[in-house]
Amino acid sequence: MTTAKIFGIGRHRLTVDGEGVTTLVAFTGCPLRCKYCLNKQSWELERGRLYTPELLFEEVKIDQLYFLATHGGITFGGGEPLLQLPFIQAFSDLCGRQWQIVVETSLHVPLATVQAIDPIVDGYIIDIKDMNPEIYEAYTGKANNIVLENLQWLLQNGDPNRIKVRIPHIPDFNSDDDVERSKEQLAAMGVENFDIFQYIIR
Amino acid sequence: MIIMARGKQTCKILKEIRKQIAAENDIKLVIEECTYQGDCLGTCPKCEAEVRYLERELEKRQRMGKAAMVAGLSVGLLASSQVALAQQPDSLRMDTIEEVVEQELFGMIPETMPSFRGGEQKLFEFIGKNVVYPQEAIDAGIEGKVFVEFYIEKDGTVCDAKVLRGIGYGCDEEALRVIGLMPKWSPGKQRGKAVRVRYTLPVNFKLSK
Repeated sequence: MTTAKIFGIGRHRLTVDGEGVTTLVAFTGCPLRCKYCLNKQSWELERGRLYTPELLFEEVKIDQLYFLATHGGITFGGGEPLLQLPFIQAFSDLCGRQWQIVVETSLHVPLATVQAIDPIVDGYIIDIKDMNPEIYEAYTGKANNIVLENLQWLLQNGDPNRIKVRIPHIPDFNSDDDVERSKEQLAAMGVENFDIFQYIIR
Repeated sequence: MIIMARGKQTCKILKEIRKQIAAENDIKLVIEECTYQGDCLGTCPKCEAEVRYLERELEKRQRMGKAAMVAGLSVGLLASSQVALAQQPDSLRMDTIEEVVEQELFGMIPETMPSFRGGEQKLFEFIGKNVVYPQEAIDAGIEGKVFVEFYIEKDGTVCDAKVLRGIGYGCDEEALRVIGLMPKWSPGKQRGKAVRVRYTLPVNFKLSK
């Protein structure tokens, strides 16, 4: 049976992670090690609670009425949700197509994973970090070529409107000019929706 | 205080959604002024009870052959609330790192789940040790999972258990009985503060061969 470790479930996230009323389900496990990760607890694979898709469905369907009324649903985050492909597929079979499924992802996974999950995903929120490979690597510890390949595929194989790309201003890692350059490159690739924001370190 | 303000804002929007569903489906829904004094996370037992009431009424209507008018009903309402939130000062909309922050951030999970003392393995051991297979279910060869929901109070007490999906033959009652025997848990936390948390658990009934 497919299982996954989930370290948090946040209900009624009205305007935070996607459209409508959404429930954020956060998986453990991530290929990246971003310096300013918001959920560093996701790096510890032992953390969290073991769920089957069936148990998760029973737990989150309490908000089904809100999901249906607002075109909301489940936002899978983490951690990297695309590491949990079989789990999300099995969950989608349970909840059906009326619930929107959104993934908050770095896209730092094999292309085959993106291709396999795409038919059941209604929206992508992609944290691109920075388009400059050196900045990306300095910040995450990994190269970004796989991310660009996946993004290109998504843009060429579906409505670009289902994609929102987040570009952070990351203190000590990129400048305003870097952010602007990233935006231009992404727009040239066909990205239409951006979320440009500032990390503040206190 | 921002938690409270956000919680109340969420509560207000969810209440509007419930009102719209009720009005569209001709369901009588009397909404009273909220008097809940605890930390508002956007919903409370009273709000949840209204949702369950609406679900029951919609089911009733469907059984009578009427279509339930729910899909997409409140999209416009959400859109306007997003505009209102977007008009907050920028300082409330930025992602703040390396400090416990009080507003909800994109993708951030500030909650800690409640836990059974000793961990999940101990929880399943506790259930296994205490469940008595109902004779009625043994005679009928009934196996399966009873999904139970309950709440872990701020002090770790287990309460308000109910069956979400049962298998009958006495198994549902037995699952509830065992949940009622559980000792106190470590409570869930939100931003370091203990909060009441809902928990869902499958109780397995499997006949030994």
